[in-house]
Amino acid sequence: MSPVDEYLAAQADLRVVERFARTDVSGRTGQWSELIPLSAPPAGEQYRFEVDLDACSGCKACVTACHSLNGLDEGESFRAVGVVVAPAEPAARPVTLQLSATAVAAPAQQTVTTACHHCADPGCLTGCPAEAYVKDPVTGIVKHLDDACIGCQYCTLTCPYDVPVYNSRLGIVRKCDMCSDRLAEGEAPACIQGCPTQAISITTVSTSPIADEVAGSTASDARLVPGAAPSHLTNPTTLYRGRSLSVEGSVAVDTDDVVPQHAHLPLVVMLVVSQWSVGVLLSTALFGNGWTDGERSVGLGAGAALGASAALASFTHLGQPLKAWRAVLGWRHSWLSREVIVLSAYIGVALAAVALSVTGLGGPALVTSVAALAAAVGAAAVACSAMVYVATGRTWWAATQTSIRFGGTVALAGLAWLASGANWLGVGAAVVLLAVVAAKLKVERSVFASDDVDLCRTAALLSGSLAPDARFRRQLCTTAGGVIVAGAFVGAVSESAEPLAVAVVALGSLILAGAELIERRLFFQACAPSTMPGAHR
Amino acid sequence: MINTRVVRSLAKPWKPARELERTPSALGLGQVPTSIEPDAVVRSVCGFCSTGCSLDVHLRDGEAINITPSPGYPVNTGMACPKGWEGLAPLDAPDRATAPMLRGADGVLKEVSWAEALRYFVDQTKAVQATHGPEAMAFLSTGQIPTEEMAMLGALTKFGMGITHGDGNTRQCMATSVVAYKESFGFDAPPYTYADFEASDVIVLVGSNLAIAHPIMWERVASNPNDPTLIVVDPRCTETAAAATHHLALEPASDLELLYGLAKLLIDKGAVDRTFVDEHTSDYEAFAEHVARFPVEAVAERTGVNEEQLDAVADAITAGRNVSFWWTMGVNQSHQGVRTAQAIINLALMTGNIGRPGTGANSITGQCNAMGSRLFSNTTGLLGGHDFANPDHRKRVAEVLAVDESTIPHTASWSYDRIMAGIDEGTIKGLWVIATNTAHSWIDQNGGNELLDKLDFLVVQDMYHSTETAAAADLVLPAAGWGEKDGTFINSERRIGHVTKVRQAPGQALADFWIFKSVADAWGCGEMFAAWETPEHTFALLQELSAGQPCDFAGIEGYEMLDSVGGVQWPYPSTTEQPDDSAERRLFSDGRFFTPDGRAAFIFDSPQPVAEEIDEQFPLVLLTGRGSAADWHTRTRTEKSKVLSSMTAKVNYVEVHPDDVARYELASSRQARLVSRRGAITVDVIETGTVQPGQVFVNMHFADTNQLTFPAFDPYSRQPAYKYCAVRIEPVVTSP
Repeated sequence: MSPVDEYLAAQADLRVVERFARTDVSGRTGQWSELIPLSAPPAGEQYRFEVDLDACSGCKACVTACHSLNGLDEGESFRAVGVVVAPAEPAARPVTLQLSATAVAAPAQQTVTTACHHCADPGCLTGCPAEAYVKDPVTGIVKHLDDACIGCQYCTLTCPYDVPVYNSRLGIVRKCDMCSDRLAEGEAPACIQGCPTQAISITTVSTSPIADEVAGSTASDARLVPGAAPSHLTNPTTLYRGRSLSVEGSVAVDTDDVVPQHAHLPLVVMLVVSQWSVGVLLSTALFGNGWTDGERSVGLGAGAALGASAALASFTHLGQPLKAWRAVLGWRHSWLSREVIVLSAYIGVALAAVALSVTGLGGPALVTSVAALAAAVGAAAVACSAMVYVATGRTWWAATQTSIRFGGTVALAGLAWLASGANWLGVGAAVVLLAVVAAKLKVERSVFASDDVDLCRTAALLSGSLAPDARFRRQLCTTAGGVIVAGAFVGAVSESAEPLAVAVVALGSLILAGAELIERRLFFQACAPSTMPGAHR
Repeated sequence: MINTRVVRSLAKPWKPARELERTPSALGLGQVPTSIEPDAVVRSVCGFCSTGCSLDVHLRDGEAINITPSPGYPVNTGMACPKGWEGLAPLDAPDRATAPMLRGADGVLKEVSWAEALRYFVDQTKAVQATHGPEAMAFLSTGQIPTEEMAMLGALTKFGMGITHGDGNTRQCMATSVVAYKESFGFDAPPYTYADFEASDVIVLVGSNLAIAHPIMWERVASNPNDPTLIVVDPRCTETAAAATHHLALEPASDLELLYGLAKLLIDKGAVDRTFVDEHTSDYEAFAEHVARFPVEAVAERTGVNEEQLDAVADAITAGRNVSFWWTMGVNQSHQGVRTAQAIINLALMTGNIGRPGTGANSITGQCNAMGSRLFSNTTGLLGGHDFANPDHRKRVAEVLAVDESTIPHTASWSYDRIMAGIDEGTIKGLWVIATNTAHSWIDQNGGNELLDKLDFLVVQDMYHSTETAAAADLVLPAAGWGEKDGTFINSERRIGHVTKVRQAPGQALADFWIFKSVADAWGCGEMFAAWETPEHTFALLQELSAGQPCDFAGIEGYEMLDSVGGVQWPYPSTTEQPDDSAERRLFSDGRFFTPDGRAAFIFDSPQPVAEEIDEQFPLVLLTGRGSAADWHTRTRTEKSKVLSSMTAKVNYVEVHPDDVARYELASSRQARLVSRRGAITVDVIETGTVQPGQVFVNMHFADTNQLTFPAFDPYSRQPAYKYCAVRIEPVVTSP
């Protein structure tokens, strides 16, 4: 055995572990008893995180403690630390009294530790279609039921604070539960165990006037800390205390650091295709009485097929597709549940209309009525889709924007379908289509006129890293409009050119659908609302 | 697509909630994740900074699986910063060096056997020494490896291989404090214990962002029950300064004037402890005369700190019963760091604030074993805090180690910068780099990296084959990391703590200790290290070397004692009849210092101008420093932890005052060019009032930062002055 082999053997010898192993390291858990409540909150109160920002030194040990003590995946933690920057002029930072009764100015920069705010009106819970969230009736802790989660990630949009995070290994989201099992045993949550300066504690708060106490007022602009999402959305319970909160004009350090958000491609496809479906079906229902049976069947069939494809696309969005059936459970509160239910109903009625139309059973009148019903249910489904996004409270997804976008797609699809009719109605439809395209583009660009902080970030994205996509969409719109109008006109004036005209309009429709897909991707990617302050270091 | 989703979902656990289930630990740890419930823990001192926190490494079936900070340990009392919690993550990285790697003719590093690597190493080193003289091979070591390994490297290179010059990255962090203490106290002896943070009523921090650089020491400040007055001297409004009672936001590099001005104010206010000064110090009168030249008006003008603030701070120090003074890299990494550190020491001496709880002139060092290197690197000082120039010391070391006394050099090694200059002038042709990342961290990086290219032979011994320095190496030796080896570290408060092996090293990687043993064997001087059988045997040798020195720790009864009592601070001599077993001990309670006359010396000098002044072309002062508590030095380890990386900057950034953002037409979160005479880098702009107008701050963790820094050095400590150079900033215009 050469010396190196001996050394390799010595290196591999781990007996030292046995020599120094300990099996009693008690003494850790008692250290934090003053930072947690001794008993469950009394009726009318709930637990909350309380953060003393003056004590927070920005070391971020809370983030790693949460990761390590909860056995989370690599890189996963239910806590994060951000930074708020005060205006530079010292005059803007009022001198206040610290504990030492010495005058100390508010800091130029403040770190902010954040986890789930265990809101009074949790957006995650309201949005969840699968009933995978509960708010504990005693502690008020908002818990995620991992086994019930279908991985739709809608809660990542309805939580204003980016708290639930999708775990692709498990196909579900996970989030902070305030270490409720630990609290139940009188142990401190992981982040409290990790904080060297005792900046985090658990206290109780009255559940009724949370908005008043937590945010200082119920004003629509009240926020937990500068740069956070407005508190009125979900009534977060976390209490932040500290000198820096009195500083006017502070901003999150990453206010101007805009990066494109998740594109949610299956949702992009689902939305555009379902709306296209409804548009085709609507135009068939409205005008199909004048068409041949075959033409009407094609219209109804196309609508139903597109609807079914949309449903399939939404399916691929789920992390737990086998649990997809749970998506209807939350219909009492979740617009996503309602969307799923109404969209399914729409597909069912549309398929029935197709069946009746193809088989001729029940006569043309029944086809007309069922087609009309399908169109109505389809319109309701689109309305539900819009509400899915409006309900998040995000400014960029406000009702006007979202309904014009979604409704606009329906209108474009219907008009494009009519434009393929090789008649003067088609020409008229094509012209109206041009107007709708123009109106839609105008509405989309209205964001550049806003001074809202969230919309400014959206505008920065659309004129920055997403600008090439936005430009390409406009070019596609122009091209599609021209092609469709040309096709419709040719079809109307020349009977012999009809097949060509239909093909041209179909091509234009495809281009237009492509433009709409890009629009919808930008709808997601450019939505960068205030959440909690991020950090640059 | 749908099918693969369904298949994947079938494969996924049906009960994902189980993954987050917790179990009450049978070990008393409280609830732990059921999936990683430990059956035992082993205590080990953390391998990042000099605080020296103890970590309980969780074990299951002998495998390290998690970490919690050790409760009851006198340093960290159950707490750790993020790096400590993530101590195991760097061990699992895919870019670990798992076999020796030799650069082939094609320029690519290829794995070779240890035998071949050692043969190559010895042949090349001997060839360099034969061609260019024995001093042509040098080494650059580290403050990151256990004392036993440092001592072995120092003994092997100097006594075994005839290598003349070696230094460490510790030159970059605490050389200034070493020189300051040696001159003022007669020995490199930081006098404090962390309990002093809690016992002071006035705490003065100079050039120290404790909250970020040493979060657990900050914990001790925060738990001070006396509602202390906190005075922070720092050009930036750091996290630490933000919590200060008095933040003296001085002009960069004006600290010496500020401290002399404070000394004069204290004299004027009658704050001098005449009894202490008369009985225990020397040269006070000359010092008083010297600082008379620093009236408050002039000091206010020079430092930008107003007279009222200076006066209030002097009042606070005067009124303080137990005033402690602390400094870190803001002082050490200065062109006149030694005199600045001594100016702090002088404040403590003149006010008698030393030797009592809550007092002291206290240098906080950087790396986990910088203090071990200060005593045992065998570079600037001879092993055990001895002096190469002292024949008695050489004799004693030769006796203890049973080496031929004639092999012991009579002079100290060249300093790091001198070794780099030696490469430039061609006197150094071979370099052995151990556990440091010169190509990233050395000042004026572009200049430094050109030098590395001039070498005939560069060996890098590291955990990773991917460091910037390894990328330039001819030979890479794969080293085991913290957690994969045994030994001891000495922390900032002189506490010797035990580091325990809890993991198998990957592949053929060896602890530096075994690599040095292998090199000794291959060189033909293995016999010299027969007594150095294991790290623990070596520790006994080191104890013997320390006996009779101020740093005497001969009384420690092996690793068992270190493990059971929570580390031991030096001195802990074996001769003490009734050893002082207090968990927290400080020096100089008897007022006797280690100078020949037993008195502490007042040492002072005229302030010197910085090496590179700002001018019209480069109008901004560049400050560098630690960015985040989740980053460590050149990030070779911390970047391997996903949770640590998630908390730190993704790209390099510069912090700029809003006035300068406007003046130079920059925008927050947009790119800018930062240009010095030595290099130009592109960084993101962060607009913040934490820096003053005319100054910009860039963190030291990104590889490009040191392209800008100016190679100025303290004349006494040869420590690089990372904290000052002239730059300009320009917006980067990107077309959308």
